[in-house]
Amino acid sequence: MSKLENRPVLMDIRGVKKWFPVKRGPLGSTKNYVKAVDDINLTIHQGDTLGLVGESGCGKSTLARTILRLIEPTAGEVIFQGEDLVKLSPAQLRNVRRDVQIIFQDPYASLNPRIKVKDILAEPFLIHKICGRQEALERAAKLVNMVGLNQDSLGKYPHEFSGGQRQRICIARALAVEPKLVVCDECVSALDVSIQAQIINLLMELQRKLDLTLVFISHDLRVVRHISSHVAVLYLGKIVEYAPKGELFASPQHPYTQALLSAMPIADPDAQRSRIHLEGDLPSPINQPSGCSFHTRCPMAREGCSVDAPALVEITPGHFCRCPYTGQAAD
Amino acid sequence: MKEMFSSMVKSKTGLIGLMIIILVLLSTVAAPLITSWSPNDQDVMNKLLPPVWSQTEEDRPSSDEPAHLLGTDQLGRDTLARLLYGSRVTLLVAFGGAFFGVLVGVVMGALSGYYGKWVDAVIMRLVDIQLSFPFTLLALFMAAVLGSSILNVIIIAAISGWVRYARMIRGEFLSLKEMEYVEAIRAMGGRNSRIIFRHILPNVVSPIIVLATLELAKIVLMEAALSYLGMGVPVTVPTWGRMLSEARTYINSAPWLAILPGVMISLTVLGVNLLGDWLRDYLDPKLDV
Amino acid sequence: MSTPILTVENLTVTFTTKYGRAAAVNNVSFDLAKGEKLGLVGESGSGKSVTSKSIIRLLQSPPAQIQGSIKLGDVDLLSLTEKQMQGYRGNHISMIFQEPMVSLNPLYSIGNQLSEIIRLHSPCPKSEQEKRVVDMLRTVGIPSPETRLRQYPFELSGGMRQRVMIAMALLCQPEVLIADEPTTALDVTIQAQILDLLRQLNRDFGTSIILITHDLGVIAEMADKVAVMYAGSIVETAQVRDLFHNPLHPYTRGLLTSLPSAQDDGGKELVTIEGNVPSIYQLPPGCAFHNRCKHAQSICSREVPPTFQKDGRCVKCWMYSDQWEEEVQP
Repeated sequence: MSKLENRPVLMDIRGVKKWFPVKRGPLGSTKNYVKAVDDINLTIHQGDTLGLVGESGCGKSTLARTILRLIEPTAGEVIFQGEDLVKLSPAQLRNVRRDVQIIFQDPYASLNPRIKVKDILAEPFLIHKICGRQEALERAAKLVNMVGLNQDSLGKYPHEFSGGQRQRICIARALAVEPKLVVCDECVSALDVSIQAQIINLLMELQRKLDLTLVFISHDLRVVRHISSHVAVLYLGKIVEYAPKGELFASPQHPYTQALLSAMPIADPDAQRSRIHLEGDLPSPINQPSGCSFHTRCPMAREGCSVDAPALVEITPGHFCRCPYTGQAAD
Repeated sequence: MKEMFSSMVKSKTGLIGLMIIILVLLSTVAAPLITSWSPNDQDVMNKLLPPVWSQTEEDRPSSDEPAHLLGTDQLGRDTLARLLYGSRVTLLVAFGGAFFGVLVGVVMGALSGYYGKWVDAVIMRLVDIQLSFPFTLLALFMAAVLGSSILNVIIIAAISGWVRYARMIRGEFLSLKEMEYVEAIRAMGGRNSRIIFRHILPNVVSPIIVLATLELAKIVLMEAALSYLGMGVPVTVPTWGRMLSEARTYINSAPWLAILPGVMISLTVLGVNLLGDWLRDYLDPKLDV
Repeated sequence: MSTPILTVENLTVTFTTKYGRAAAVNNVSFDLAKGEKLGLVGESGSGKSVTSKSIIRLLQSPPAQIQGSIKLGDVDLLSLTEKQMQGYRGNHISMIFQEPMVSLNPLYSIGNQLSEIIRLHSPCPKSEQEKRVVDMLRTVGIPSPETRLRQYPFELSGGMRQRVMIAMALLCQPEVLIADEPTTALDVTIQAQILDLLRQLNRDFGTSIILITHDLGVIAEMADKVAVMYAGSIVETAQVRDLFHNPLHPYTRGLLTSLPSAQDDGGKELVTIEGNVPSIYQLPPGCAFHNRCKHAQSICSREVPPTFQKDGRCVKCWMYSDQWEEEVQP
């Protein structure tokens, strides 16, 4: 993995927070916050695929939108190619958007039903005034090839395609303006298994060809394991563990990561399963538990856990974990 | 254009709608050719004359004046002439009122729903304030300020209508602006104007059409109510609404006076509805019409 | 295993819509023994949910037309009147759904909705009703059931609601439980809890389970026997080990290789099935899978394959016919 570390840093996320105010009372006074994303630090190197995993409500999608400034962060910096995206004016931001793209989960909701595919794919060129309409349409035709659809697709409307084909269109649109960083927000979760594999292959192939950097958000650990180079595990808005992919899956250190990995269904009836049971449900993000936010469900919680919030510590080079009792894996 | 027309022929209902509307418009334009009576001519000898097919021998006017094909009203004015000439103002008021209502409503609703925050607060309070006044009071007030003229009736219709559009459009914008395809354009660097006009508005066309066609009928009747209160168009101008409201006194003795404008209103509204339905389907790429 | 408790024979469900007439489920047969866990796996549009809904007779008919026979014990469920069927639902055969959020009525308390089931099927005094409900909630692992009883659905989390749904389905101890994607809407850690619960209930009560899912991982963990569905037909039926270790049908093989395995560290490209799942309104002639199949020969596009028996397994593919060798030669 050291090979990757030597590559230039593409995006540096420093102390990013997104707190949504919870308003109560007749005057809408702010009483509390949902800490959807709470003090996230991540460094993404050129050519990496960063996997973000966690259960629903862990803040992974909010984080993705925050670093693209589709949602304004409450605090923090997002340094992309030396510029802090958070400080850019709307006009400057529109320019930078060429370089950072996003692919969404639901291929049915992410294409405007009233616009033909050729216009959907030509639009990025027109937005950034890269070329005229005629050339934009020609480029759209090339994009369709790139993602493995045939030329008839251009004249059709989105509803005439299946989920997998639509996701290909979304990928083509995102890659139209040759971005450097692409965020994939659960972009294969809504697809059938056989189609999911096609899209994963396509993404990985395009990544190689175009030297893309990916942020891959998913709740499916199998997919994340296949595609990522680094993985960050999120729980209630915080990173609980971050490591190169191989290391994280081979020796997970945080009890939550361990439980998550053990809960992953394995498509092999003879697989050895030693499941770590997590009691109860995810706590409400409004009233987060004191101390370590995982202590309410942690199988190895001890007295101090409900008092002191642990810090994210580098336990071995490149492997970070937010638990002071690592190395003492649950049995 | 050719494709549009062939789709209309295929849908049948759309074609019927279009034919009804053309017929109504044509009869309006060609009114002087159809009847030689003018709408305000009084044939005092022949008041409350029934239409020709139910005229008895003694009803029939003896003079060599042209016949009253659809009878006359309580002042002896020719019903056919009043229907034909009346449609001019009625249609102008209905389409004009609906058009401006939609225009204002869409703009306000879009601003309110898309930008939210204080813009939304201001516009929606405005809507609330207007809705808290009874319509008649509002109309009375405006008529008193503006005076009674055709343009003012259009303005009153637009003002009374825009709140409904604004609310609906705001709701549509609220949900559509959260759609991922809108977010994708935002992430692409698209400006707000592009998002609003190219990506959200085309998706709210259907509800606008539905609401606007319903609104047309309402405005025709509103104009009647205003005229009845003396706040509509000047008395000398015939309209379907006025005919309808004047006919109320004679509903038992001369029912045709109410039925005939009623039929015309229904027919026009039906035509607009059929055409609107077709247009809505035509604009929806999911339906292959 | 012992004699089957549920036998589905030649089940065909057709729909007539404006797109035409199409069979969502085409000539499907399988049986379920007492205490057996059958996995029904397939992609969207494969007909797995329609199959399950026809078994419990929840399909609106029309538009659906159901043919074939579905026997629970000696009773053909398809010949029952709606009234008789109501007596069977919940009592002998129950179903849980994917969305625990919308499967409970938000206006009634949990206890109220559960005791309604008892009132419907086996009326008894109120105190006993409550006792049975509390016992069942405890069985499905809901902590402090006495207080939960008075709560409303919105006060429970997704995992808890699915537990309540399971409790509701099992109150009258049905012989068969149909679980339609019961964990798809849940998080992994919660999914693990629910799957454990289903396994435990299967062991303790001997309830037979039909588990419908698109997740092969869930199938591998839960099922004894697996039926793979594609475009309305069962293409392969096998014991779970045989299916995963030695899949016969090309579609099953493709599904298994499409899945990133648990040991997979990337690098290798996933072996996928080319093309897209066909719409049931535009099924290709012959074998519905032939235009995505690497092995397809001319016979595959001409004739629908029958179900072949191979080593006690069923597979619907011409590769296992006697004439296959001849087909490949030219």
